[in-house]
Amino acid sequence: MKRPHPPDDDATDPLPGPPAAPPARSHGGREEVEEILRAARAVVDPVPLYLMLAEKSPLALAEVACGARAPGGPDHVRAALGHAAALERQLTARGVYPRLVELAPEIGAEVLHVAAERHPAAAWVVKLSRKVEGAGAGLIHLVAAANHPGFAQACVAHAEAGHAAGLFAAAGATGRPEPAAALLALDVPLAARAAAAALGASPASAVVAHFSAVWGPEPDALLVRLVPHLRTRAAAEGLLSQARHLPHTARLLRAVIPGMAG
Amino acid sequence: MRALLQGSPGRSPFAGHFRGRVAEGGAELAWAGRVKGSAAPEEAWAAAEAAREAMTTVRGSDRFALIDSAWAALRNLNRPDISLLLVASDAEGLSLAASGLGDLRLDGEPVAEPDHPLFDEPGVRERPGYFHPPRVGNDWVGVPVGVKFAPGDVDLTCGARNVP
Repeated sequence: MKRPHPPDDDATDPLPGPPAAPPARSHGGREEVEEILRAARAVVDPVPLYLMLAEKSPLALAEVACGARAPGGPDHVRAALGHAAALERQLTARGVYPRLVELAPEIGAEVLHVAAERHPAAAWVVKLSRKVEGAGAGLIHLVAAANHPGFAQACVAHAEAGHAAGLFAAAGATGRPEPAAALLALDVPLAARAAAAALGASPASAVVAHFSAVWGPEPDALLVRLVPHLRTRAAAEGLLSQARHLPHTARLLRAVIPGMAG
Repeated sequence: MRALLQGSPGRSPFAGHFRGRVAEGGAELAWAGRVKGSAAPEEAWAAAEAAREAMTTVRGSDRFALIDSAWAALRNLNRPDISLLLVASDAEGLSLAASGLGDLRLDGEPVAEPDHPLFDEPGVRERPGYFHPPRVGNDWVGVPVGVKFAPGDVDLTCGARNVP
């Protein structure tokens, strides 16, 4: 993802630069904010302005980045993302990121990525995912949340929102079993394919444990369905290692593994 | 006849569940149990696998022998958190043993009063108590202690769905 310029990027502005630094920790009076907004609309590179505001006038930063008359556009929103923590001290996170997406929908994925990394367990990220990713909603959030304790709950939340395609993509991208298990509530054949994708990415992925926990203690007939979708011998052997008490799945795997490419 | 155990509310309703049956001569035993039900799916699955493995040793020529054999196999696991329903039949009749259940239903109807000795804390005691139900039917559904009975399709509430 493209990141805002580093703070020491000394790009010159041909237009009037940011206003002179206000006194330390300014609270941003109305006139001052108006002046800053005018300057913000004029600058070519907003990064130095956002840096200065983050340090000197966080309220003005929130106004320039997310306010009703914020300039918006990709450059401003990228500059704002560089000060996400400062913005979240002034506004709620669930207010900041949807507003940033409104202000620069063309870089919505970058905004969502930052939101998901900073708030992997937040329910509002699911709605934001829908707004940004459309029918593929869930992938960015779930990849960002893959190592967070709230990952399984995030998968369930995306399933409840009907984000089947995003869950399927997340299974292959993360190698984790939770997206496939959550898909069982939406689309059983797709869940089986997602489990195969997870095993393809990570042969040790505990798909049997997670399917059993959601589906029931006898998932043999279900797991047989995913065998045709396994693409590598390692994935098939990974499933076989979990299938000790699944006679049909184990039998089928033992039959197909010798013919699979290593 | 089926021995079923109702799932718990939450994201992983059947974590740690195990189920099976064995027949020998004219006698048959069906079981449903749960171990480490509140653990993460991987940990619960490992505990359930140990229970499944233990149950492969069950043998018996009548319903009491089958119950005793299953009870001994699971007692050796030394799991204080186990919930269990054993349903055994032979030519002479049908008997049950249970542990860690708060309710028992036969085809949706209660089988015993809440204060019946059949209902007990989780864990496998030294010897099973035999329960001889007053009526017979197909689906015996145990409800683990702390879980409220959920009316409805037992294939859904007990994790016995067919693959569509």
